[in-house]
Amino acid sequence: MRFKRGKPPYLRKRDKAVYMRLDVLIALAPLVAFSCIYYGMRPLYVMLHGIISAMLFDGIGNLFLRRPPGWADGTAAVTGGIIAAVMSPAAPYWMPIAAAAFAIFAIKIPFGGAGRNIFNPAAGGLAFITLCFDGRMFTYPAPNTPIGDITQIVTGESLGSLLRSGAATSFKPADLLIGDFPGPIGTVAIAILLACAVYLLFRRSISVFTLLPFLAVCTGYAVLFPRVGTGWENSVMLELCSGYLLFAGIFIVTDPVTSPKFWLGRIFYGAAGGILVMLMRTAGRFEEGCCFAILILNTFAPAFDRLSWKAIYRTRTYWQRLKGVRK
Amino acid sequence: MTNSHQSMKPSGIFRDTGFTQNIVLIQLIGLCPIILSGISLKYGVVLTVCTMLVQVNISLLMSVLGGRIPDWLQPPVCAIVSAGLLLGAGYVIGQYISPELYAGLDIFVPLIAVSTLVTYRAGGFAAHNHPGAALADALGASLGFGVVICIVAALREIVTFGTLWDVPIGFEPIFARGALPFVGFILLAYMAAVLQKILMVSRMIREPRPDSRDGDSTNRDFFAEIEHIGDIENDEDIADPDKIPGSGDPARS
Repeated sequence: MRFKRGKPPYLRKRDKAVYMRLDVLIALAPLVAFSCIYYGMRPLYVMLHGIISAMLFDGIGNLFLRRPPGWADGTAAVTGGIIAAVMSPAAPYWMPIAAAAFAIFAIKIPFGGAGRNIFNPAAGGLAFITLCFDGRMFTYPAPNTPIGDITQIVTGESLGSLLRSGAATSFKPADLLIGDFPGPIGTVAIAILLACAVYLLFRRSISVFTLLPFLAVCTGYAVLFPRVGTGWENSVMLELCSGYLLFAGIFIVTDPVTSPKFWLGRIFYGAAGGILVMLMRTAGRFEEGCCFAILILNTFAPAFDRLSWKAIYRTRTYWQRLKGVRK
Repeated sequence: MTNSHQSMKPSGIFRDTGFTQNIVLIQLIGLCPIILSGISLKYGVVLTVCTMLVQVNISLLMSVLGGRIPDWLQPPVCAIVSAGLLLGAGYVIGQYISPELYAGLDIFVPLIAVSTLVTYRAGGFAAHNHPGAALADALGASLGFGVVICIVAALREIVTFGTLWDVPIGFEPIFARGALPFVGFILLAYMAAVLQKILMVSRMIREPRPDSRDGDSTNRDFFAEIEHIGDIENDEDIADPDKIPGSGDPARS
């Protein structure tokens, strides 16, 4: 039997791996632009703080690893971008910087740097901020209020806190799609998020085998265990659009470095991710514990790969023995 | 790296457990009190003193009597004697030094009785060696532990409470959750890395780098050979069908 040997990340076309990271940054751009329409220029500045500080820290960290400071490899920019996109528009500028510092120096560099990290650095940075500054992380300004001084913003109740307190009723789908509710910078414009997902899927920068099971399991959990009293449609809509669940599914769970490489492994990974994220939301301490769920999930990535590969190999050999092809 | 030392002189043993193979940073023994209770310099010092008290006495005891006690009986004997010592120490701290301190330390003073730090060195090393070596080992272990816990506790106290030894030092507490365990883990990780670097540098200074024609160089960077495997910076030759062996016409290869 002839085995083809390619180099990771096993792309079929002759495509540079940096295009995957560039695609993610391109996908983040309209989200930030949309947030700027609601809140003024501040979301853009938060995003720039996140990206630039992440790249700076990555350069310093690569010196410790004795690798060239690889800004051309884009992973630090993506980490910074994802972290900033989950920040509240009224987040102080030191928050994305602190999150990026933790993400790079405690999650990425100690494990070997770009391409070798076991845990998703963006999820780690977000976990750090959620744990330590959860008050500020989850105060979102009401939409359509330009933000000047962050100490004087009009706060709104995010969907996540409404769901958690049980006070969520129904929202109009049009409102949810446009993003006319309080939430983080990059995660409220649901219509644009779906467009980003389609773009990334067709560019093969994220894997459909991870994303679809994730969304399916989250939907199933929302149907079976609704936190909203007005029917399962509202529950599904609100659960999927609240917090940063959709954003995490598209950008964080599908990260090619930390997710499994085999298609069946990815399906298990997405499904397990969905269960963990929904559990963290309903039974966890914070209104959105997605980042912790993803960190736990990252540890299972090699196990899912191995499990699914063995399952398929054994099924195939069993079937061949049954048919008499193999002894 | 376990129960044998590179040199059997007491000073060599002391340097080994305390520094070159630091009991906490390299052998990873006794992490629990540091991570959970090493949040204030006072706690750190109290735990160090209690550990040293227990460690020295148990090591001397095991060194003298250890040969006569069967293996399976050594841990219970260590635990009971340590518990007795710590009962006395706890009473002294609670009554004469500070009841709040003892209450704040909660379970970590009694926990030293069953701590890995004590039983590992006592049963592993002290039981089979003469009292001088056992004493050096005990002092090295407890002082090694003490230095680490005091540094970690001081840093965490400054960052979390803005005080050092309960004296405000004018540093605003920037990070109210510094008493959480993850900060301890990360601080320990970085300290271990710094220690490894110091040891590597001192080894390279003492033994000059051998000839590169030698196959076996102990000072060579471990990652030099495997460093570029899986690198995603090498984008140019990814999955080029012309370069993959065996993917062409089967008759041709």
